[in-house]
Amino acid sequence: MIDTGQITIALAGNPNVGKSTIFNALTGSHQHVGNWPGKTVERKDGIAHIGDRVITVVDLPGTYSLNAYSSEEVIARDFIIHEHPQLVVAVADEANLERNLYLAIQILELEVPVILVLNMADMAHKRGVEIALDRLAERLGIPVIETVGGQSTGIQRLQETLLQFTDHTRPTTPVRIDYGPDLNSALDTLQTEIEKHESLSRVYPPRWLAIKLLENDEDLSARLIESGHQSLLEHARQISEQIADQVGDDTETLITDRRYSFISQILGGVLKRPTQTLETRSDQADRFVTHPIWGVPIFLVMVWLIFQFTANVSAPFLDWINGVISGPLTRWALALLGVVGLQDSWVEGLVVDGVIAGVGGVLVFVPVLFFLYLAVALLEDTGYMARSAFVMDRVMRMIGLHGKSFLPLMVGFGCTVPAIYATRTLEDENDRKLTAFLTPFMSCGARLPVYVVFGTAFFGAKSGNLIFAMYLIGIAVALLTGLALKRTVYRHKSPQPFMLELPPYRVPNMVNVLRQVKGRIKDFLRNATTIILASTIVIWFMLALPAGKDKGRFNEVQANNSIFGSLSQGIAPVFQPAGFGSWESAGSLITGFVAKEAVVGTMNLIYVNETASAADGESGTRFTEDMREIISTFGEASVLTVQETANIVPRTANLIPGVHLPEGDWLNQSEDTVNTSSLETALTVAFAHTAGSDTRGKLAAVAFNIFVLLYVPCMTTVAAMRHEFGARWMALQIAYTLALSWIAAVIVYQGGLLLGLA
Amino acid sequence: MSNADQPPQAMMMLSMVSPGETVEVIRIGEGRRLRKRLADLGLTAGLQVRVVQNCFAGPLILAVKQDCRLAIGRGMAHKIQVCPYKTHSDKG
Amino acid sequence: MTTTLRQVLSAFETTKTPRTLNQLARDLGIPLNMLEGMLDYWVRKGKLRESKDGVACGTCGGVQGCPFAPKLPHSYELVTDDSPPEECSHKGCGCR
Repeated sequence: MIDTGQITIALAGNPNVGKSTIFNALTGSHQHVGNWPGKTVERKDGIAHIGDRVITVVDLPGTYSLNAYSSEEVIARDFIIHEHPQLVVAVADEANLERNLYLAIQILELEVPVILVLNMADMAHKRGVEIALDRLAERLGIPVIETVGGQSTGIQRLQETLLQFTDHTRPTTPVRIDYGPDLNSALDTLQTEIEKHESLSRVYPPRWLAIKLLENDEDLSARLIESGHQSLLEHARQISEQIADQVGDDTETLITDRRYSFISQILGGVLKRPTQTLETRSDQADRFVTHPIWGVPIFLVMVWLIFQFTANVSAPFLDWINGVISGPLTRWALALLGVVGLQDSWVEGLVVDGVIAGVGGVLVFVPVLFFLYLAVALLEDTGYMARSAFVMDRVMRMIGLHGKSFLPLMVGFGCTVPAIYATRTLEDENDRKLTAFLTPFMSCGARLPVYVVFGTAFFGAKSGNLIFAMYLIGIAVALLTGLALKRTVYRHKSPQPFMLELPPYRVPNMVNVLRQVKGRIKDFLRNATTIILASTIVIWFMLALPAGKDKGRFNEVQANNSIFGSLSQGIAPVFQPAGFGSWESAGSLITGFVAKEAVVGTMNLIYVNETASAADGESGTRFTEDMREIISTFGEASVLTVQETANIVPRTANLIPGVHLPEGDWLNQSEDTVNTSSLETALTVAFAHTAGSDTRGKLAAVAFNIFVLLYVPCMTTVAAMRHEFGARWMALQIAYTLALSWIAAVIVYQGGLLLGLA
Repeated sequence: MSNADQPPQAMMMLSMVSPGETVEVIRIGEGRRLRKRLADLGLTAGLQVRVVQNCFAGPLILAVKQDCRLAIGRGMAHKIQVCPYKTHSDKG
Repeated sequence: MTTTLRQVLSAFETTKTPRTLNQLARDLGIPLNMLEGMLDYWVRKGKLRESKDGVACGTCGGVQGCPFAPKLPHSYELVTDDSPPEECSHKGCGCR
């Protein structure tokens, strides 16, 4: 070849072998990114300065072979054939060398000098893969270099070898693939014929072309027809058919197969994979984390952390969104309505009291869900989630399920709908049904607001106790229900074997984690802007429309005289024994069927009659002030979130008796963030009124919360149940939860009265 | 098989193997379904497995492949017959 | 003498159920990554295809969102005459 001083080399390799890190290490910042002519495939060129040489490096598209199955493959081989790089660096993943060599030996067949780079050597070694580099180099007849990404040691050796090549000081004798006697002689025949066509042998290496002809390479066939070599093609076809008749397999399959057996031959005694698995750090961790004794406390700490994470860390942002929606956003809406002349009309009521209060009341919980989903995704991505199933296996066995059923139940703490779909990971249909039946008792994120509101209203600073009790009661009910079903419906069900793959522990991939969280939040937002929006509008109208002509006028009717009020009044007596037989609570429970978030939303509509007090006429001028307020409160919320994250440590340590670590209070707010809203005040009054006294009201409030915890899951969940298990199972679930929740609420209230609690 | 001329090896249940030991799976107990499901997860007769976690109760963790661990219930482990794994002296 | 490639294919023809790679690699005594290459060959020849059942439920959080879908190994199945034709997923291969 004529040495023009301009040296070009190419990088080739399978996809995902770290080719571009090698490329970057060689070329540094001297890169040019463009497209291959006429294709959408990216072409990267770079300049490497090695010694006193200036070498152009071309990064070929990642391919598994050079068989023209894809445009990438055509580009790669055309480049090697037509642009004559002085050298091709074949980059291979050392851990998967067998498959990677398939490409490397095809490059060798193009009769171009090749250096084989075994990349990601660290990963391979970690997996116990060992390669005798010298012997491999000897057998292939080309230099073989081990590299670890862009790390300098391997790259330096590669650069040295590159220099030797470009100086022509390193002669190589590349191996020739033995295709077996039948194919070899056919290839010989074809090769001699190709060599007679000077126009072909000048462009293509004759042996290679012969191989391609027997492989029925469509791209080359087309080119040969174009250049008028039909007779050669015809001859190749005849030979091909002859061999196929003799051997019983087509030549393309034969050639592919022989290449693989050639690779096996080359690697025999060169590549060693471990017969025994090596103990990893993951295993060492598992000795402890999945221990029958230590595993359970570790698991409980994890659950506690999630609970802290979702409930407390998200609280500042919850308050922030709440402030933005009830303050500036409401003011802007009012101002806007004022501009179009709709102030004080029923439209204003619908927008402010209906849509903003209802949908806004749901959007408020986006931060809670964000942190919950983040926690769940983190647990999954680190590999702990699967371990929790392992640890809980013994508990789940008590109710006739196994550890794997625990995963959907965990998801149920976030949202019941994905939990029901998560039961698909269970192989056994009965396991699936039973698990799905229990998922609604895992108190989902949407029920949390109800506990929060009631907790602050009735228990003040001790609201956390009510919340935690609700979660525990939910779990207890799930276990008891499982136990009951095991004794009755599933009496004859044999225990299913537990089998689960445990991924290795790893540092979570934040891109993955955030993508998951984003998807879930999107679903939630879609829900809020469709189902919940629609239901709040319907409820608003039902509240605004009088039940009869004598009851009042549209939008001016007393809430208890509205259609919604009279409907709820019809149902209310049912809850009399449970202590909350008012139409207001009955009404909010009805809307809770649409979505559990709606319970608080409806209560906001019913109990709090006055329109957002912040609304005054001249809101238009306050825009910049509002923006400043939004931004400054956001900053505050961010600080508080960091503070709450840090506070998890003292709060967790304080669980240990005798330990009292102070919690951070960076903005000097000391529990001031829990503002007793007008709703909470209204609730205490209303419940005491219905039940008869303050303490009775408190008891009724607890009963109400238990009812919310246990009664019919939301519409979406019911639909998911039907979708997954059919209408009968869904109906059974509705009947069971309704009966159970009513009985439980009545027992709590009446039992409390009997015990003299009130 | 080369094992044929060796004295009969001590067979035991997988559930009795202590953590850290490597054993060879000899037989997977009755049930075609069970066998198939275990095979799907990469556990078949003739395979070497290392026991990662095995305590007095609860499921076991096995290392079947280098980068994945398999948890199986204790009941199932009772049904899997294994024998201590002897490292072969032949080297490719 | 049948080729290893042919053995790979006939392993599917005899059982007709989707097979996981690990299983097959063990049965045939070839390294997993080489088997992947061989299966790729048959997929391109239209004799096999990747089977998709039970890979993920895809209902929650978008298509790739579900973290609880079992992380099943790829499995392959035989393409029979009555199986529905599938769009080629190979980027830019130009097939119809």
